[in-house]
Amino acid sequence: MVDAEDAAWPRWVLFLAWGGFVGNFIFSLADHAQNGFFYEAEWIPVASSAFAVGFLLVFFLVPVNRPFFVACALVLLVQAVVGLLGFYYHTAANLRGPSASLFDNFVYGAPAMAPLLFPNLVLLAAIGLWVLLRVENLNRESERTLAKPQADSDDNG
Amino acid sequence: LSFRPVFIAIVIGTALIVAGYMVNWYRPRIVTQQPTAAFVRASGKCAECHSNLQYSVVHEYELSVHAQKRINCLECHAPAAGQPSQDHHDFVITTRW
Repeated sequence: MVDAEDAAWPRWVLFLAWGGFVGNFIFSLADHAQNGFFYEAEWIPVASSAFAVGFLLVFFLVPVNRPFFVACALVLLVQAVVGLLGFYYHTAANLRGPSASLFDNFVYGAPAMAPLLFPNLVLLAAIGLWVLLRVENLNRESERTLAKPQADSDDNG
Repeated sequence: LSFRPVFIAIVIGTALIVAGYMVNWYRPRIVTQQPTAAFVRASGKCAECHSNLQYSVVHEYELSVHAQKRINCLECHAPAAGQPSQDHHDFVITTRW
């Protein structure tokens, strides 16, 4: 069991979110390839999820600084917008689908709920980011408080 | 302020986009360059179901002159003006041909 106060916990959460975005990248690429990317907007989720994969992967490759957390949060915000935009596009496409039956359009047409995986994963990643930032701040503070008495005793000595 | 993490993230993201674009670029033009999205989808979707339901139909098509000339399923099975039509798994096809 991973301790919730340990930096490993948010890193696992971020890893799960990263895996989800890898899935989103593959599925949005494969699903829209069925249309041959007929509409250029079909590249939007591919591109955005690729950057989400890149930004979340960095947490496991190199040490990150506070501005990177902000940059990552902005990238995640874009993912949420893309997901909602996808929900709108898929629903709109199904509402004017080729079939006379609306039910058939939703069953065989563009998956209306699939783009909502983007905001779902954003929530998961946001939890990971927030906790990781909090843990790192706590660690920094405790390092500072540990270093201060030692500096004081050095001054006295 | 170090831009190294952002730089690494952008490189990974761009590499993935380029890889995806290349995969799509190397697909046969006859599959991707169609007049409508339904025609693009028809290339794979028709064969996907019918190879399970009626493999003979797909195999017959593969051996046909239509396949040699890269004629799409929907080019023949889409309803012409005035022809009766029916819904068929997100496609509209004619009931008479």
